[in-house]
Amino acid sequence: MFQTALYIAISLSLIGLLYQSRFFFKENRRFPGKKRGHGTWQIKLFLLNTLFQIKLFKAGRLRWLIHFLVASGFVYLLIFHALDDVTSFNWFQSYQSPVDPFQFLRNLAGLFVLAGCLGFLFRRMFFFALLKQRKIHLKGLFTILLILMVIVSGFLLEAVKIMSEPVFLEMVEEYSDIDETTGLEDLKIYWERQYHVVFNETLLITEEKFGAGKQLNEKFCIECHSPVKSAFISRSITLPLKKTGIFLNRHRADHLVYAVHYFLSLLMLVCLPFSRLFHIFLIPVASLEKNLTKEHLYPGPDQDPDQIQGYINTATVLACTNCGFCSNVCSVMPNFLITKNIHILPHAKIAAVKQLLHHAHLEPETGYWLQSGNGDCTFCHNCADICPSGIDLQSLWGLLNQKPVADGVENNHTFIEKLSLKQWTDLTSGKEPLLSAQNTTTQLADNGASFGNCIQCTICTNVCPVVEYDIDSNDYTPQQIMNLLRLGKKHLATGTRMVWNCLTCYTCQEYCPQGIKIADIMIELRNNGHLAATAIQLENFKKAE
Amino acid sequence: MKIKKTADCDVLVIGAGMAGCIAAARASSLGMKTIQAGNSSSFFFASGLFDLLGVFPVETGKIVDRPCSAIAQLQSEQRDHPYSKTTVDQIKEGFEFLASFLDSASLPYSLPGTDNRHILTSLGTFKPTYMVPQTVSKGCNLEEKNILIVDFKGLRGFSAKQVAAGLATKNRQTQVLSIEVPENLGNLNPVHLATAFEKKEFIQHLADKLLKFSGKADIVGLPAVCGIHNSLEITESLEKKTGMDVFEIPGMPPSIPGLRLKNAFEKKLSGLGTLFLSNAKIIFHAMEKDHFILRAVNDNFETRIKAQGVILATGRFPGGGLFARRDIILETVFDLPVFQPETREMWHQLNFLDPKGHLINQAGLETDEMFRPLDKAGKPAFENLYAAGSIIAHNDWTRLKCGAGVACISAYTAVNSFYKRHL
Amino acid sequence: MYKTIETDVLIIGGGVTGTGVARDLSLRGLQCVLIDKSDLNAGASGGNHGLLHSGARYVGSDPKAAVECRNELEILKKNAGHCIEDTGGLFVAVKGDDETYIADFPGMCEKSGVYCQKIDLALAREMEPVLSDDLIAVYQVNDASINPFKLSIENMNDAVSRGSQFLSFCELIEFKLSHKNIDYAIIKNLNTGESFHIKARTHVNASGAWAARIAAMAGITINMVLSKGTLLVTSKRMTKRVINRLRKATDGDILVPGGVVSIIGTTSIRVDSPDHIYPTISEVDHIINEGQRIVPALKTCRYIRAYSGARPLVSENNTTDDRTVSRGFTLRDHEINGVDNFITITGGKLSTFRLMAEKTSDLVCWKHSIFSTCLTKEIPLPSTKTGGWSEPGLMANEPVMSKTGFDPILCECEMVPMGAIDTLVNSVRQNKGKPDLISIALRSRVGKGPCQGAFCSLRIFSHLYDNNVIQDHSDIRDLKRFLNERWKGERSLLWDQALVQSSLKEMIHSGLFGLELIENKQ
Repeated sequence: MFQTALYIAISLSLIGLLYQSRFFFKENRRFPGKKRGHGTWQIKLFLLNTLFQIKLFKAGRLRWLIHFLVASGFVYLLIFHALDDVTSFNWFQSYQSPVDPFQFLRNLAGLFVLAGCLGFLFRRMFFFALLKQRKIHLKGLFTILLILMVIVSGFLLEAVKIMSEPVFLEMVEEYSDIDETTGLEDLKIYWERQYHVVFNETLLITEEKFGAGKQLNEKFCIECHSPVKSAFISRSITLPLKKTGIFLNRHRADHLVYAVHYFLSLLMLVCLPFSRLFHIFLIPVASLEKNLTKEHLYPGPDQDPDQIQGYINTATVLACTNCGFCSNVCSVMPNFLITKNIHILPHAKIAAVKQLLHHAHLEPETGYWLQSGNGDCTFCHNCADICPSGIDLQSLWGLLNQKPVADGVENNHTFIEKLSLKQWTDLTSGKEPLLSAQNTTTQLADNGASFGNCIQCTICTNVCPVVEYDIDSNDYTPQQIMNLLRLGKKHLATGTRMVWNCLTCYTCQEYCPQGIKIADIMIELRNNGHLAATAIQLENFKKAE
Repeated sequence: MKIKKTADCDVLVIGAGMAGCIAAARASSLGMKTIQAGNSSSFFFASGLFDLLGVFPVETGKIVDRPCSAIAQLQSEQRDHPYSKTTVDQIKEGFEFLASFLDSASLPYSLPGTDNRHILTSLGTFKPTYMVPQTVSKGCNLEEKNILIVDFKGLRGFSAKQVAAGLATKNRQTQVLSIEVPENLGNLNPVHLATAFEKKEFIQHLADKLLKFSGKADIVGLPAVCGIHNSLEITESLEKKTGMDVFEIPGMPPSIPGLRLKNAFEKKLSGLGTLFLSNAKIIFHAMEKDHFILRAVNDNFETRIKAQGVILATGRFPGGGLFARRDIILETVFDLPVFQPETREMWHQLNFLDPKGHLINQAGLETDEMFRPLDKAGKPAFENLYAAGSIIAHNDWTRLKCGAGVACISAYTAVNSFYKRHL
Repeated sequence: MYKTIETDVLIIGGGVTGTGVARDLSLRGLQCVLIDKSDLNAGASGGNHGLLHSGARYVGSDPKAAVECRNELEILKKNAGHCIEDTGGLFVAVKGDDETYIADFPGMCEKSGVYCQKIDLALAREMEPVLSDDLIAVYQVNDASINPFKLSIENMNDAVSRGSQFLSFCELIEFKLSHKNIDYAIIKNLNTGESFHIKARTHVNASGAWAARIAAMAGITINMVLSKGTLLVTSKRMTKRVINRLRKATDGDILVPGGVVSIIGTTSIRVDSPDHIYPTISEVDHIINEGQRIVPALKTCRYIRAYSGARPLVSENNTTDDRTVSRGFTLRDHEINGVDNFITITGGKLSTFRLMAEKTSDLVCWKHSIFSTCLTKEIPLPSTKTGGWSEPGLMANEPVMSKTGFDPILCECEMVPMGAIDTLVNSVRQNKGKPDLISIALRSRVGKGPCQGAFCSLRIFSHLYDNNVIQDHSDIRDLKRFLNERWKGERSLLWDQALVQSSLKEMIHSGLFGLELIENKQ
């Protein structure tokens, strides 16, 4: 029965694996940018990440520790315990499950996994990530609980087996010729004390009998049964259970728990492609996957972007475990704080790409926000550097720029720069809410007191490095920007080159004899322009749809 | 969230304009631990010329040729004027200190004699003044010289023809030349032009243009933009290349000679160990035993300062040392009593350029001979609080042309007095 | 021998009325020469609120004027829209104001056919957040804001394009009378000093507050009362709409938006002469104290300028309260005084200038036996480029570069470039005027920004030398005059920031350049 179940579970699991991997093969759901070709396999990353979770180690030691506990314990148990028929028995001559060091190691591995799982749970309860979503939460919780139950049932199984009188008797029968007459009672006494078996009788313990039992043990048992104290977890469990031992033995709890343990493991196997455990495969694949090289990400002026030879399998995005590290380190987080476009942040972009894979299309507005948000990406590589799953996020964003999912969406700065100042002014005229100061970190440009004290000395203009560079003088100077605000032309100001070229060196603000926060106002105007451009582009986008 | 700091000093100088910097210079030179707080951009409004006494009496608009003798007359007629609290020798000593300080900061000034100089301005007027930068000094004597005035296309407010028209009133025949700065198509800002002067290619380009006049002119007048850091070297280089003398003509703000002063003070003071709290507003907290506790606050820091002595050199209305409400004029740091006309109606004349000047310009802090501001009872308000510069009452520096002199002597005397009484 | 200019009509006075008459007559085919001893809008037309009355202010005191205003408002909005901002207006009462007047107000408006609509107080505060918390009643009306400088410039430009002439700085010295007619007028060009004659068929005295003086030259007495009104200009516009105090008309009652600034006023003080009037400090304080009752921010905001204008009021009786003298206009045919070809038009208000010009032109045509109708109701006032420079912030709308690529900004506050200055210089020259800082400033925003001429005067001045518009050092007196012109408006409100700005100006022009040392001799 167990074997049948095993074969069924393996088959199901394999089918599941293939099904879940469909995105790696399905041509039509892949992100545009399909040409196969050059790019390198990331062998080193593959090895280091798979074996040692090196990226997670760099990202967060504690998280890595929890993972490592679970992973190492799990791998050990899988190989040396679950598959011991194939592995341990063949590799180690002296292997028996109750033998040291295997007994100890098994308990230790189990402890690792237990500690790791508790760590996971504890973290989930008390540390809420930026991206907490109910579905993700439940999925991860399910996986952890499943593992936990497998481990706990394993410990329980060992504990029950330790206490089991029927198992003891079976063992004695099979591996010795001891019976009531030849010292069974002595052995029992020894085993009761040393191995914590619970017997359904009260045994009279004497030193002499104990010694005899010990000798019998050494003759028949000890080769396969190391002192049970090395099964330190299971043995500890027996202590509180001792009172119920007789009850458990009578009902052959060991069979029951074995079945539970076994079938839970099979469940885990079947669920593997559908649970968080799938990342065991996904992460190595993502880590290995070829990425776009620099030449492919940034084609030169003579190159045709359509001929990008690089290859990125966007299905690697499925390896994302929603850990949130990518968004934590995103350089343009301040842009998100100002514009509130969540699709600036990597985790949201990943979610959108996943949706694209699953459903082959996005809601129109989502497409806009995704493309607009990606326009803010500075390609700093922070997210790709930190991603514990080894996904090359940078290539993904580069691809998004070159093969957009939404057309006609431009980086706001480019959008404004392409318009003449008159066009921009006409677009923003009378649209005060677009230029609202509410979302900016300062509210200076709407407050006359901020710039009302300007004495027109032109010192700011004279010390500005951008003005010095602007040899054509084809633009507005800092002082003129302040005057524009005074003349009620803030919307015009937000589109000037000065505002967008400002280096925020703060020299103007430092020198201003009247203490006007010129640089702060420049940044605020740029943010205002950014907000307005976003809204205008969205409107244009919707009209085009 | 402001970062909190503390600092102790012998003297705190409130203000980083002319008087404040001279005070800090003197204090540091005497070895006192000095903190200075303020914004030094007021130097952009300084022409770079140091006035001692240019016009007296103002009612008749009489231009002073010998300031020291005119001061003697002033002292007898205007007992309240800051000059009357000191001696001519002391005033001269103050100027000598200033000149040597600036010289050590590589900004050489022409040492004054007994006579005022009359310096040609961009408006074509002649300004009587006492001590001038070396780059300006050659323009003091234009008698019997063939003059060439140069302007730069796009440098607004400076026209060679305008200057030439002014020279014409003194019967000087002048030629004019307008130079186009390569690649400049619009507004040419003085600081950026002055930066261009520091490039060898630019000087060569300029010299080539000037060479065409080398037979016809003896001396060339340029707007005062000949470099920011090495102005004397630059003008001398031009002289060598063209064979003509070169002098600078001061004009409207932003003033490059003023910027040179600012840089000179900042660099030298920093080298002498003065702690400069940029853009920090000073709030007087309390007296503790015999020293001042004050707070210096700017956008990022708050510094608690313990000072033995304080020099108040906060300036007048533009500097923020005095503040005018509709009904009254107030002093903004210590709320000291301000000498002022009784009503606002009396503040200003009907004529903007009334030679008598406006009564409000006489308003300010009254002081004793050590330049300590007085309280309502006529006694020094604080034992170790001194005032320096334009905040002091009873002198209309715009009409008398005595601004630099008052700044210098008050700062110099105040610091000396403090030093003597404390060490 | 004197040069003689012959024309159909000589108009004396270059305010909105005079230029309005010039345009009206030109449209009817008559040629005019308009002279003014100064430049355009030198009198009340250059010293008013810039308010186009809906009429509501006069429904109690002068219903006839109220109706006139109401009618003219619609005509002007239609025909001269580019000089007008249709802001709308509010009448606002605060605690302590006369409740009877408030109660009667809507009825009085209805009687004169003037639109007014009661507004909920909370809505009023939403519409204009700067209004006082002490509001007790608010009514909405159709007031609008008008740019009187642009108005006069465009009137005159249109008249000139139809063959008329404008001669600025030309003063009437004498009328030569014979046989109950003015034979010719002797004029002196104050710039050049030369005298010349103008021989016209009819003479129109549109000199506003100077009307009595001009009439006297023809031996005619007009009893006039000159009432000075002072107004303050804020550095930033405070309201969208015109705000009036809902009470019997008195001081500090009206706050009018004018482009990027707001204007608060006014006062009413008897003066003897329209020349050399200036705002006093007590007037300024009085206006602020009154004004801040309806808009509290007026107490603390930055003011950049104060100015005064003299209202020309013709009185038949001796009266001490200038507000009770009729604000209606006076059109006198001096045939009854024994001079057949002489007319005086004076009094009135800015809002009714077109009507005044119409009536005057009707009378002129009647004297010329011409049957014509007024065309200023039908034909809109054209908008020209030169008129545009008086509009605040115009330049800021366009990129700074001119065609040649070299066009530095000379007035930073108001962004007036060199090219504009050159255009204005040409325009002044075309009108035979003398281009200088004052004439340029009149036609543009130069000097009207925060720096009040401190910096721009120097930049423009040196440019005028560069372009050989000025060549002599003695022309530096023009700079002094310009600064003093500005000073007239600054002097009474020099506290806080305005004092800072003005001190800087003094530091530069006196401290550095020593302008006070230059003599004022002509």
